[in-house]
Amino acid sequence: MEGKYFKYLLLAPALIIVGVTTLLPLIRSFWISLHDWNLTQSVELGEFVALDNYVQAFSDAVFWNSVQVTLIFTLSTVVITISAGIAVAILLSKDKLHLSYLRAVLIIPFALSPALVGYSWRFMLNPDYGLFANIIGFLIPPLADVVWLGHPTTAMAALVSVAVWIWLPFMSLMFISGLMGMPKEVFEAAKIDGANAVQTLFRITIPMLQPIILIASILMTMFAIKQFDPIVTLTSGGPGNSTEVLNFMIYNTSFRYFDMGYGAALGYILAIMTVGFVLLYMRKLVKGGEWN
Amino acid sequence: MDDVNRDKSSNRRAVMKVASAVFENIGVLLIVIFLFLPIFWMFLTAFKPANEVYTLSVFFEPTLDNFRQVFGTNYNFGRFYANSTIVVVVTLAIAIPVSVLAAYSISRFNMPGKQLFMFAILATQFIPLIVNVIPFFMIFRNWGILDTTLALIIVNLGATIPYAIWLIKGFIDNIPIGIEEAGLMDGANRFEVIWHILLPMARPGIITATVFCFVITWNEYMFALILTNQDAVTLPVALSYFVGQDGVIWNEMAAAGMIYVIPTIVFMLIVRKQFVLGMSSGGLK
Repeated sequence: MEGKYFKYLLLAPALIIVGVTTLLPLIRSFWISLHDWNLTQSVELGEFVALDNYVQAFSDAVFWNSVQVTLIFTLSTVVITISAGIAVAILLSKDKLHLSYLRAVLIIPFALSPALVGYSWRFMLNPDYGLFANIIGFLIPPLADVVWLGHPTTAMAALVSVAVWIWLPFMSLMFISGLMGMPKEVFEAAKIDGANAVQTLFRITIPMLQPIILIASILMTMFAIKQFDPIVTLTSGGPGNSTEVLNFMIYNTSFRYFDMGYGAALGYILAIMTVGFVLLYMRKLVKGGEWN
Repeated sequence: MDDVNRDKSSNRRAVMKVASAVFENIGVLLIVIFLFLPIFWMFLTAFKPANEVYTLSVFFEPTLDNFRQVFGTNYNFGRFYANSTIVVVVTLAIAIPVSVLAAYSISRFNMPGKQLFMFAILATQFIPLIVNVIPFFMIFRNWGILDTTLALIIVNLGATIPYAIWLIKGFIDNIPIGIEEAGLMDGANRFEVIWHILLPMARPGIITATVFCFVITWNEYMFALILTNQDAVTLPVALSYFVGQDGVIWNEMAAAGMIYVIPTIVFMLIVRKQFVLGMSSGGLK
Protein backbone atom coordinates (compact mmCIF):
# COMPACT_ATOMS: atom_id res chain seq x y z
CA MET A 1 0.00 0.00 0.00
CA GLU A 2 3.05 2.20 0.30
CA GLY A 3 2.91 2.82 -3.43
CA LYS A 4 3.79 5.82 -5.46
CA TYR A 5 0.26 7.12 -5.37
CA PHE A 6 -0.24 6.82 -1.65
CA LYS A 7 0.42 10.49 -1.03
CA TYR A 8 -2.15 11.45 -3.61
CA LEU A 9 -4.62 9.03 -2.08
CA LEU A 10 -4.33 10.91 1.22
CA LEU A 11 -4.88 14.18 -0.59
CA ALA A 12 -7.77 12.99 -2.70
CA PRO A 13 -10.73 13.42 -0.32
CA ALA A 14 -9.82 17.01 0.54
CA LEU A 15 -9.09 17.78 -3.07
CA ILE A 16 -12.39 16.37 -4.27
CA ILE A 17 -14.43 18.21 -1.66
CA VAL A 18 -12.68 21.54 -2.18
CA GLY A 19 -12.95 21.05 -5.94
CA VAL A 20 -16.65 20.30 -5.87
CA THR A 21 -17.53 23.01 -3.35
CA THR A 22 -15.23 25.76 -4.58
CA LEU A 23 -13.83 25.20 -8.05
CA LEU A 24 -16.95 23.87 -9.77
CA PRO A 25 -19.24 26.66 -8.54
CA LEU A 26 -16.58 29.15 -9.55
CA ILE A 27 -16.55 27.86 -13.12
CA ARG A 28 -20.32 27.59 -13.15
CA SER A 29 -20.56 31.16 -11.86
CA PHE A 30 -18.43 32.39 -14.74
CA TRP A 31 -20.72 30.60 -17.18
CA ILE A 32 -23.76 32.22 -15.58
CA SER A 33 -22.08 35.62 -15.78
CA LEU A 34 -22.05 35.30 -19.58
CA HIS A 35 -25.82 35.01 -19.71
CA ASP A 36 -28.77 37.31 -19.36
CA TRP A 37 -30.69 35.59 -16.62
CA ASN A 38 -33.30 36.97 -14.31
CA LEU A 39 -34.70 34.35 -11.98
CA THR A 40 -38.06 36.08 -11.72
CA GLN A 41 -38.59 35.54 -15.46
CA SER A 42 -37.22 32.07 -15.96
CA VAL A 43 -35.66 29.28 -13.93
CA GLU A 44 -33.63 28.24 -16.97
CA LEU A 45 -30.37 29.90 -17.91
CA GLY A 46 -31.24 32.77 -20.27
CA GLU A 47 -29.73 34.03 -23.48
CA PHE A 48 -25.96 33.97 -24.01
CA VAL A 49 -24.77 37.57 -24.04
CA ALA A 50 -20.98 37.11 -23.86
CA LEU A 51 -19.44 39.95 -21.86
CA ASP A 52 -22.48 42.23 -21.86
CA ASN A 53 -22.94 41.91 -18.10
CA TYR A 54 -19.39 43.07 -17.53
CA VAL A 55 -19.81 45.94 -19.95
CA GLN A 56 -23.03 46.89 -18.18
CA ALA A 57 -21.16 47.14 -14.88
CA PHE A 58 -18.79 49.75 -16.22
CA SER A 59 -21.60 52.10 -17.11
CA ASP A 60 -23.54 51.40 -13.91
CA ALA A 61 -23.34 54.26 -11.40
CA VAL A 62 -24.39 51.95 -8.57
CA PHE A 63 -21.46 49.69 -9.37
CA TRP A 64 -18.94 52.53 -9.32
CA ASN A 65 -20.39 53.73 -6.06
CA SER A 66 -19.89 50.25 -4.62
CA VAL A 67 -16.33 50.07 -5.90
CA GLN A 68 -15.60 53.35 -4.18
CA VAL A 69 -17.31 52.26 -0.96
CA THR A 70 -15.42 48.96 -1.01
CA LEU A 71 -12.07 50.68 -1.49
CA ILE A 72 -12.71 53.23 1.26
CA PHE A 73 -13.94 50.57 3.64
CA THR A 74 -11.12 48.13 2.90
CA LEU A 75 -8.27 50.63 2.99
CA SER A 76 -9.49 52.35 6.17
CA THR A 77 -10.05 49.01 7.88
CA VAL A 78 -6.64 47.63 6.92
CA VAL A 79 -4.68 50.78 7.80
CA ILE A 80 -6.46 51.39 11.09
CA THR A 81 -6.50 47.77 12.22
CA ILE A 82 -2.84 47.15 11.42
CA SER A 83 -1.54 50.37 13.00
CA ALA A 84 -3.84 50.09 16.02
CA GLY A 85 -2.91 46.41 16.25
CA ILE A 86 0.78 47.29 16.52
CA ALA A 87 0.02 49.97 19.12
CA VAL A 88 -2.11 47.59 21.17
CA ALA A 89 0.55 44.91 20.90
CA ILE A 90 3.26 47.24 22.16
CA LEU A 91 1.06 48.30 25.10
CA LEU A 92 0.04 44.77 26.02
CA SER A 93 3.23 42.80 25.46
CA LYS A 94 4.88 43.91 28.71
CA ASP A 95 5.55 41.36 31.40
CA LYS A 96 2.87 42.39 33.86
CA LEU A 97 0.29 40.22 35.52
CA HIS A 98 -2.79 42.30 34.70
CA LEU A 99 -1.66 42.53 31.08
CA SER A 100 -1.27 38.78 30.85
CA TYR A 101 -4.91 38.42 31.96
CA LEU A 102 -5.94 40.92 29.33
CA ARG A 103 -3.97 39.08 26.66
CA ALA A 104 -5.76 35.91 27.67
CA VAL A 105 -9.24 37.31 27.03
CA LEU A 106 -8.28 39.48 24.08
CA ILE A 107 -9.44 36.89 21.56
CA ILE A 108 -13.06 37.06 22.75
CA PRO A 109 -14.35 39.78 20.37
CA PHE A 110 -12.90 37.81 17.46
CA ALA A 111 -14.85 34.70 18.44
CA LEU A 112 -18.20 36.48 18.49
CA SER A 113 -20.65 36.21 15.63
CA PRO A 114 -20.07 39.19 13.31
CA ALA A 115 -23.80 39.34 12.61
CA LEU A 116 -24.48 39.75 16.33
CA VAL A 117 -21.69 42.31 16.61
CA GLY A 118 -23.36 44.38 13.88
CA TYR A 119 -26.62 44.36 15.82
CA SER A 120 -24.87 45.20 19.10
CA TRP A 121 -23.22 48.25 17.58
CA ARG A 122 -26.55 49.35 16.19
CA PHE A 123 -27.74 49.24 19.78
CA MET A 124 -24.64 51.02 21.12
CA LEU A 125 -24.89 53.79 18.52
CA ASN A 126 -28.57 54.57 18.91
CA PRO A 127 -28.77 58.35 19.48
CA ASP A 128 -31.37 58.04 22.26
CA TYR A 129 -30.39 55.09 24.39
CA GLY A 130 -27.10 53.88 22.84
CA LEU A 131 -24.23 53.70 25.28
CA PHE A 132 -21.46 54.65 22.83
CA ALA A 133 -23.50 57.47 21.31
CA ASN A 134 -24.10 58.84 24.80
CA ILE A 135 -20.48 58.52 25.87
CA ILE A 136 -19.31 60.30 22.73
CA GLY A 137 -21.95 62.99 23.26
CA PHE A 138 -20.81 63.44 26.84
CA LEU A 139 -17.11 63.74 25.95
CA ILE A 140 -17.60 65.82 22.81
CA PRO A 141 -20.85 67.76 23.24
CA PRO A 142 -21.11 68.98 19.60
CA LEU A 143 -21.45 65.33 18.58
CA ALA A 144 -24.25 64.65 21.06
CA ASP A 145 -27.10 64.71 18.54
CA VAL A 146 -25.41 62.87 15.69
CA VAL A 147 -27.51 60.07 14.27
CA TRP A 148 -24.50 57.85 13.59
CA LEU A 149 -26.13 55.50 11.14
CA GLY A 150 -28.15 58.28 9.49
CA HIS A 151 -25.40 60.03 7.49
CA PRO A 152 -23.15 58.54 4.81
CA THR A 153 -19.88 59.59 6.44
CA THR A 154 -20.70 58.64 10.01
CA ALA A 155 -22.32 55.38 8.88
CA MET A 156 -19.11 54.49 7.07
CA ALA A 157 -17.10 55.44 10.15
CA ALA A 158 -19.35 53.20 12.25
CA LEU A 159 -18.90 50.34 9.82
CA VAL A 160 -15.12 50.70 9.83
CA SER A 161 -15.19 50.83 13.65
CA VAL A 162 -17.07 47.57 13.76
CA ALA A 163 -14.66 45.90 11.35
CA VAL A 164 -11.74 47.20 13.40
CA TRP A 165 -13.44 45.98 16.57
CA ILE A 166 -13.79 42.50 15.11
CA TRP A 167 -10.25 42.19 13.75
CA LEU A 168 -8.16 44.26 16.16
CA PRO A 169 -7.86 41.54 18.82
CA PHE A 170 -6.72 38.91 16.36
CA MET A 171 -4.20 41.19 14.65
CA SER A 172 -2.91 42.41 18.03
CA LEU A 173 -2.37 38.84 19.14
CA MET A 174 -0.37 38.13 16.01
CA PHE A 175 1.82 41.16 16.70
CA ILE A 176 2.09 40.29 20.39
CA SER A 177 3.37 36.82 19.57
CA GLY A 178 5.84 38.47 17.21
CA LEU A 179 7.00 41.04 19.77
CA MET A 180 7.35 38.54 22.56
CA GLY A 181 9.46 36.32 20.35
CA MET A 182 11.96 39.10 19.69
CA PRO A 183 15.34 38.94 21.40
CA LYS A 184 15.34 41.35 24.35
CA GLU A 185 19.04 42.17 23.85
CA VAL A 186 18.27 44.27 20.78
CA PHE A 187 16.04 46.58 22.78
CA GLU A 188 18.50 46.79 25.63
CA ALA A 189 21.29 47.66 23.20
CA ALA A 190 19.13 50.39 21.68
CA LYS A 191 18.49 51.80 25.13
CA ILE A 192 22.17 51.84 26.01
CA ASP A 193 22.91 53.60 22.72
CA GLY A 194 20.48 56.31 23.81
CA ALA A 195 17.66 55.62 21.37
CA ASN A 196 14.38 57.18 22.45
CA ALA A 197 11.00 55.43 22.30
CA VAL A 198 10.08 56.80 18.87
CA GLN A 199 13.42 55.82 17.36
CA THR A 200 13.16 52.36 18.85
CA LEU A 201 9.68 51.98 17.40
CA PHE A 202 10.51 52.98 13.84
CA ARG A 203 14.09 51.73 13.62
CA ILE A 204 13.79 48.44 15.47
CA THR A 205 10.33 47.25 16.41
CA ILE A 206 8.52 47.87 13.12
CA PRO A 207 11.31 46.60 10.84
CA MET A 208 11.54 43.45 12.92
CA LEU A 209 7.79 43.00 12.79
CA GLN A 210 7.71 43.45 9.04
CA PRO A 211 7.12 39.82 8.00
CA ILE A 212 4.16 39.64 10.38
CA ILE A 213 2.87 43.03 9.24
CA LEU A 214 2.86 41.74 5.69
CA ILE A 215 0.96 38.55 6.52
CA ALA A 216 -1.44 40.49 8.72
CA SER A 217 -2.08 42.98 5.91
CA ILE A 218 -2.82 40.19 3.45
CA LEU A 219 -5.24 38.51 5.84
CA MET A 220 -6.84 41.81 6.80
CA THR A 221 -7.36 42.92 3.19
CA MET A 222 -8.86 39.57 2.32
CA PHE A 223 -11.23 39.62 5.25
CA ALA A 224 -12.20 43.27 4.79
CA ILE A 225 -13.12 42.77 1.13
CA LYS A 226 -15.18 39.74 2.09
CA GLN A 227 -16.86 41.41 5.07
CA PHE A 228 -20.59 40.88 4.80
CA ASP A 229 -22.40 39.98 8.01
CA PRO A 230 -21.95 43.14 10.09
CA ILE A 231 -22.73 45.27 7.05
CA VAL A 232 -26.10 43.59 6.69
CA THR A 233 -26.92 43.82 10.38
CA LEU A 234 -25.50 47.29 11.05
CA THR A 235 -26.32 49.49 8.05
CA SER A 236 -27.79 47.21 5.35
CA GLY A 237 -25.83 49.34 2.91
CA GLY A 238 -27.56 52.52 3.99
CA PRO A 239 -28.31 55.32 4.30
CA GLY A 240 -29.10 55.28 0.58
CA ASN A 241 -26.33 53.07 -0.74
CA SER A 242 -23.52 54.91 0.97
CA THR A 243 -22.18 51.79 2.70
CA GLU A 244 -23.11 49.30 0.02
CA VAL A 245 -19.83 47.46 -0.50
CA LEU A 246 -19.52 45.32 -3.63
CA ASN A 247 -20.10 42.13 -1.71
CA PHE A 248 -23.42 43.45 -0.49
CA MET A 249 -24.36 44.88 -3.89
CA ILE A 250 -23.85 41.41 -5.40
CA TYR A 251 -26.10 39.96 -2.72
CA ASN A 252 -28.79 42.53 -3.51
CA THR A 253 -28.47 42.06 -7.26
CA SER A 254 -28.67 38.28 -7.07
CA PHE A 255 -31.00 37.59 -4.20
CA ARG A 256 -33.19 40.65 -3.93
CA TYR A 257 -33.61 41.48 -7.63
CA PHE A 258 -32.71 37.94 -8.75
CA ASP A 259 -30.56 39.20 -11.61
CA MET A 260 -28.29 36.16 -11.54
CA GLY A 261 -26.27 36.93 -14.67
CA TYR A 262 -25.35 40.43 -13.59
CA GLY A 263 -24.75 39.32 -10.00
CA ALA A 264 -22.32 36.63 -11.13
CA ALA A 265 -20.47 39.11 -13.34
CA LEU A 266 -20.14 41.53 -10.42
CA GLY A 267 -18.91 38.61 -8.31
CA TYR A 268 -16.19 37.93 -10.82
CA ILE A 269 -15.15 41.55 -10.89
CA LEU A 270 -14.86 41.50 -7.10
CA ALA A 271 -12.89 38.26 -7.24
CA ILE A 272 -10.47 39.79 -9.76
CA MET A 273 -10.08 42.86 -7.53
CA THR A 274 -9.30 40.62 -4.57
CA VAL A 275 -6.76 38.57 -6.47
CA GLY A 276 -5.17 41.80 -7.71
CA PHE A 277 -4.71 42.99 -4.15
CA VAL A 278 -3.28 39.65 -3.08
CA LEU A 279 -0.83 39.52 -5.99
CA LEU A 280 0.39 42.96 -5.04
CA TYR A 281 1.22 41.73 -1.55
CA MET A 282 2.58 38.43 -2.82
CA ARG A 283 5.12 40.19 -4.97
CA LYS A 284 6.33 41.97 -1.91
CA LEU A 285 6.38 38.75 0.04
CA VAL A 286 8.38 36.90 -2.60
CA LYS A 287 10.77 39.83 -2.99
CA GLY A 288 11.29 39.90 0.76
CA GLY A 289 12.26 36.24 0.57
CA GLU A 290 9.70 35.32 3.22
CA TRP A 291 7.92 32.76 1.08
CA ASN A 292 9.31 29.20 1.53
CA MET B 1 26.79 73.63 38.21
CA ASP B 2 27.16 70.21 36.70
CA ASP B 3 25.37 68.69 39.64
CA VAL B 4 22.41 70.97 39.18
CA ASN B 5 22.15 70.05 35.52
CA ARG B 6 22.32 66.38 36.28
CA ASP B 7 19.61 66.82 38.90
CA LYS B 8 17.43 68.60 36.41
CA SER B 9 17.83 65.97 33.73
CA SER B 10 17.26 63.13 36.14
CA ASN B 11 14.20 64.96 37.38
CA ARG B 12 12.97 65.32 33.85
CA ARG B 13 13.60 61.64 33.23
CA ALA B 14 11.55 60.76 36.29
CA VAL B 15 8.70 62.98 35.14
CA MET B 16 8.86 61.44 31.67
CA LYS B 17 8.75 58.01 33.19
CA VAL B 18 5.66 58.79 35.22
CA ALA B 19 4.04 60.47 32.24
CA SER B 20 4.66 57.53 29.97
CA ALA B 21 3.35 55.14 32.61
CA VAL B 22 0.19 57.24 32.87
CA PHE B 23 -0.21 57.29 29.10
CA GLU B 24 0.32 53.56 28.95
CA ASN B 25 -2.35 52.90 31.51
CA ILE B 26 -4.78 55.24 29.79
CA GLY B 27 -4.06 53.40 26.55
CA VAL B 28 -4.74 50.03 28.13
CA LEU B 29 -7.93 51.38 29.66
CA LEU B 30 -9.11 52.68 26.28
CA ILE B 31 -8.46 49.29 24.71
CA VAL B 32 -10.48 47.59 27.42
CA ILE B 33 -13.36 50.04 27.06
CA PHE B 34 -13.42 49.85 23.27
CA LEU B 35 -13.25 46.07 23.09
CA PHE B 36 -15.20 44.93 26.12
CA LEU B 37 -17.78 47.59 26.89
CA PRO B 38 -20.10 46.46 24.04
CA ILE B 39 -19.91 42.87 25.28
CA PHE B 40 -20.49 43.88 28.88
CA TRP B 41 -23.40 46.09 27.85
CA MET B 42 -25.08 43.31 25.84
CA PHE B 43 -24.56 41.02 28.82
CA LEU B 44 -26.31 43.53 31.13
CA THR B 45 -29.08 44.08 28.62
CA ALA B 46 -29.79 40.37 28.50
CA PHE B 47 -30.82 40.54 32.17
CA LYS B 48 -32.73 43.80 32.01
CA PRO B 49 -36.48 43.94 32.45
CA ALA B 50 -38.24 45.32 29.36
CA ASN B 51 -38.88 48.75 30.87
CA GLU B 52 -35.18 49.37 31.59
CA VAL B 53 -33.79 48.47 28.19
CA TYR B 54 -34.08 51.89 26.63
CA THR B 55 -32.33 53.63 29.51
CA LEU B 56 -28.66 53.73 30.45
CA SER B 57 -29.28 52.38 33.94
CA VAL B 58 -26.70 50.01 35.33
CA PHE B 59 -28.63 49.21 38.50
CA PHE B 60 -31.79 47.24 37.97
CA GLU B 61 -33.40 44.10 39.21
CA PRO B 62 -31.92 41.34 37.03
CA THR B 63 -34.43 39.00 35.49
CA LEU B 64 -34.34 35.79 33.49
CA ASP B 65 -37.53 36.69 31.63
CA ASN B 66 -35.68 37.44 28.42
CA PHE B 67 -34.18 33.97 28.33
CA ARG B 68 -37.56 32.40 29.04
CA GLN B 69 -39.03 34.44 26.23
CA VAL B 70 -36.30 33.42 23.78
CA PHE B 71 -36.83 29.74 24.41
CA GLY B 72 -40.59 30.08 24.78
CA THR B 73 -43.15 29.22 22.12
CA ASN B 74 -42.89 32.68 20.56
CA TYR B 75 -39.42 32.25 19.15
CA ASN B 76 -38.64 28.64 19.93
CA PHE B 77 -34.93 29.28 19.79
CA GLY B 78 -34.06 25.70 20.70
CA ARG B 79 -34.86 24.77 17.11
CA PHE B 80 -32.23 27.12 15.69
CA TYR B 81 -29.75 25.95 18.25
CA ALA B 82 -30.34 22.39 17.04
CA ASN B 83 -29.89 23.42 13.39
CA SER B 84 -26.64 25.21 14.11
CA THR B 85 -25.37 22.25 16.13
CA ILE B 86 -26.17 19.74 13.39
CA VAL B 87 -24.44 21.83 10.74
CA VAL B 88 -21.34 22.34 12.87
CA VAL B 89 -20.96 18.77 14.08
CA VAL B 90 -21.36 17.15 10.66
CA THR B 91 -19.15 19.73 8.95
CA LEU B 92 -16.35 19.18 11.46
CA ALA B 93 -16.74 15.39 11.42
CA ILE B 94 -15.97 15.44 7.69
CA ALA B 95 -13.65 18.43 7.37
CA ILE B 96 -11.15 17.60 10.10
CA PRO B 97 -10.20 13.99 9.23
CA VAL B 98 -10.01 14.86 5.55
CA SER B 99 -7.80 17.87 6.32
CA VAL B 100 -5.50 15.89 8.61
CA LEU B 101 -4.80 13.36 5.86
CA ALA B 102 -4.22 16.07 3.28
CA ALA B 103 -2.00 18.12 5.60
CA TYR B 104 0.03 15.02 6.43
CA SER B 105 0.50 14.19 2.78
CA ILE B 106 1.60 17.73 1.91
CA SER B 107 3.89 17.99 4.90
CA ARG B 108 5.63 14.63 4.54
CA PHE B 109 5.92 13.86 0.85
CA ASN B 110 7.59 15.55 -2.05
CA MET B 111 5.24 16.56 -4.78
CA PRO B 112 5.72 18.63 -7.86
CA GLY B 113 4.23 22.08 -7.38
CA LYS B 114 3.70 21.70 -3.66
CA GLN B 115 4.15 25.40 -2.90
CA LEU B 116 1.81 26.27 -5.70
CA PHE B 117 -0.72 23.84 -4.32
CA MET B 118 -0.59 25.33 -0.83
CA PHE B 119 -1.06 28.73 -2.40
CA ALA B 120 -3.96 27.49 -4.51
CA ILE B 121 -5.66 26.11 -1.41
CA LEU B 122 -5.31 29.45 0.28
CA ALA B 123 -6.39 31.24 -2.88
CA THR B 124 -9.76 29.50 -2.79
CA GLN B 125 -10.37 31.64 0.28
CA PHE B 126 -9.43 34.85 -1.53
CA ILE B 127 -12.44 34.41 -3.75
CA PRO B 128 -15.46 36.14 -2.23
CA LEU B 129 -17.81 33.33 -1.29
CA ILE B 130 -20.80 35.20 -2.68
CA VAL B 131 -19.54 34.18 -6.14
CA ASN B 132 -20.05 30.56 -5.20
CA VAL B 133 -23.45 31.01 -3.64
CA ILE B 134 -25.15 31.93 -6.91
CA PRO B 135 -24.59 28.53 -8.60
CA PHE B 136 -25.13 26.73 -5.30
CA PHE B 137 -28.50 28.36 -4.94
CA MET B 138 -29.56 27.02 -8.34
CA ILE B 139 -28.04 23.56 -7.85
CA PHE B 140 -29.69 23.13 -4.45
CA ARG B 141 -32.96 24.40 -5.85
CA ASN B 142 -32.82 21.74 -8.56
CA TRP B 143 -31.95 19.05 -6.03
CA GLY B 144 -34.73 20.25 -3.77
CA ILE B 145 -32.41 20.72 -0.78
CA LEU B 146 -32.76 24.46 -0.32
CA ASP B 147 -33.58 25.23 3.30
CA THR B 148 -32.02 22.02 4.64
CA THR B 149 -29.04 21.58 6.93
CA LEU B 150 -27.48 19.36 4.24
CA ALA B 151 -27.12 22.35 1.91
CA LEU B 152 -25.39 24.34 4.64
CA ILE B 153 -23.04 21.46 5.45
CA ILE B 154 -21.94 21.17 1.81
CA VAL B 155 -21.07 24.85 1.47
CA ASN B 156 -19.42 25.03 4.88
CA LEU B 157 -17.07 22.17 3.98
CA GLY B 158 -15.59 24.27 1.21
CA ALA B 159 -15.20 27.21 3.58
CA THR B 160 -13.43 25.28 6.35
CA ILE B 161 -11.18 22.63 4.77
CA PRO B 162 -8.65 25.07 3.26
CA TYR B 163 -8.09 26.77 6.63
CA ALA B 164 -7.91 23.43 8.41
CA ILE B 165 -5.26 22.12 6.00
CA TRP B 166 -3.27 25.32 6.35
CA LEU B 167 -3.33 25.25 10.14
CA ILE B 168 -2.73 21.53 10.62
CA LYS B 169 0.12 21.42 8.11
CA GLY B 170 1.92 24.10 10.09
CA PHE B 171 1.78 21.94 13.19
CA ILE B 172 2.74 18.69 11.46
CA ASP B 173 5.77 20.41 9.91
CA ASN B 174 7.08 20.94 13.43
CA ILE B 175 6.89 17.27 14.40
CA PRO B 176 10.22 15.54 13.79
CA ILE B 177 9.94 12.93 11.06
CA GLY B 178 12.41 10.58 12.80
CA ILE B 179 9.79 9.22 15.18
CA GLU B 180 7.62 8.12 12.30
CA GLU B 181 10.53 6.48 10.51
CA ALA B 182 11.27 4.51 13.64
CA GLY B 183 7.68 3.34 13.66
CA LEU B 184 7.86 2.32 10.01
CA MET B 185 11.06 0.36 10.67
CA ASP B 186 9.25 -1.51 13.39
CA GLY B 187 6.86 -2.75 10.73
CA ALA B 188 3.89 -0.49 11.25
CA ASN B 189 2.13 0.72 8.11
CA ARG B 190 1.46 4.36 7.31
CA PHE B 191 -2.04 4.46 8.72
CA GLU B 192 -0.86 2.92 11.97
CA VAL B 193 1.91 5.49 12.12
CA ILE B 194 -0.55 8.31 11.50
CA TRP B 195 -3.01 6.97 14.04
CA HIS B 196 -0.68 5.96 16.86
CA ILE B 197 2.25 8.34 16.49
CA LEU B 198 1.30 11.38 14.50
CA LEU B 199 -2.20 12.05 15.79
CA PRO B 200 -1.27 12.24 19.47
CA MET B 201 1.63 14.55 18.67
CA ALA B 202 -0.37 16.76 16.34
CA ARG B 203 -3.24 17.01 18.78
CA PRO B 204 -2.78 20.69 19.69
CA GLY B 205 -2.82 21.59 16.02
CA ILE B 206 -5.86 19.47 15.30
CA ILE B 207 -7.75 20.91 18.25
CA THR B 208 -6.84 24.41 17.15
CA ALA B 209 -8.04 23.78 13.61
CA THR B 210 -11.22 22.20 14.94
CA VAL B 211 -12.00 25.20 17.09
CA PHE B 212 -11.27 27.63 14.28
CA CYS B 213 -13.52 25.71 11.89
CA PHE B 214 -16.12 25.52 14.63
CA VAL B 215 -16.10 29.29 14.97
CA ILE B 216 -16.30 29.82 11.19
CA THR B 217 -19.22 27.44 10.80
CA TRP B 218 -21.07 28.46 13.96
CA ASN B 219 -20.88 32.14 12.97
CA GLU B 220 -21.47 31.56 9.26
CA TYR B 221 -24.15 34.01 8.14
CA MET B 222 -24.20 34.59 4.39
CA PHE B 223 -24.86 31.02 3.28
CA ALA B 224 -27.54 30.61 5.89
CA LEU B 225 -29.17 33.91 4.96
CA ILE B 226 -29.41 32.94 1.30
CA LEU B 227 -29.92 29.19 1.41
CA THR B 228 -32.43 28.87 4.26
CA ASN B 229 -35.68 30.60 5.05
CA GLN B 230 -37.59 28.55 7.59
CA ASP B 231 -36.73 24.95 8.45
CA ALA B 232 -32.94 25.07 8.48
CA VAL B 233 -32.46 28.60 9.78
CA THR B 234 -29.38 28.81 12.01
CA LEU B 235 -28.70 31.07 14.99
CA PRO B 236 -27.14 34.14 13.32
CA VAL B 237 -30.01 34.43 10.88
CA ALA B 238 -32.57 33.82 13.62
CA LEU B 239 -31.30 36.93 15.40
CA SER B 240 -33.18 38.99 12.82
CA TYR B 241 -36.45 37.73 14.32
CA PHE B 242 -35.96 40.23 17.12
CA VAL B 243 -36.01 43.06 14.61
CA GLY B 244 -39.67 43.98 14.48
CA GLN B 245 -41.83 46.59 12.80
CA ASP B 246 -41.37 49.11 15.61
CA GLY B 247 -37.70 48.52 16.27
CA VAL B 248 -35.50 45.89 17.83
CA ILE B 249 -36.39 44.06 21.03
CA TRP B 250 -32.89 44.51 22.39
CA ASN B 251 -33.26 42.71 25.70
CA GLU B 252 -34.42 39.52 24.01
CA MET B 253 -31.83 39.76 21.25
CA ALA B 254 -29.14 40.23 23.89
CA ALA B 255 -30.34 37.15 25.76
CA ALA B 256 -30.39 35.08 22.56
CA GLY B 257 -26.99 36.50 21.63
CA MET B 258 -25.47 35.50 24.97
CA ILE B 259 -26.59 31.91 24.58
CA TYR B 260 -25.41 31.93 21.00
CA VAL B 261 -21.85 33.12 21.67
CA ILE B 262 -21.00 31.11 24.78
CA PRO B 263 -19.66 28.02 22.95
CA THR B 264 -17.34 30.01 20.69
CA ILE B 265 -15.94 32.05 23.57
CA VAL B 266 -15.25 28.98 25.67
CA PHE B 267 -13.59 27.00 22.88
CA MET B 268 -11.61 29.94 21.59
CA LEU B 269 -10.21 30.71 25.04
CA ILE B 270 -8.99 27.12 25.30
CA VAL B 271 -6.90 27.23 22.13
CA ARG B 272 -6.06 30.92 21.76
CA LYS B 273 -2.28 30.50 22.02
CA GLN B 274 -1.81 27.76 19.44
CA PHE B 275 -4.37 29.42 17.21
CA VAL B 276 -2.50 32.66 16.78
CA LEU B 277 0.80 30.84 16.30
CA GLY B 278 -0.77 28.58 13.72
CA MET B 279 -2.36 31.37 11.76
CA SER B 280 0.80 33.43 11.56
CA SER B 281 3.24 30.65 10.78
CA GLY B 282 1.28 27.88 9.09
CA GLY B 283 1.47 29.16 5.56
CA LEU B 284 5.08 30.10 5.61
CA LYS B 285 6.66 26.84 6.59
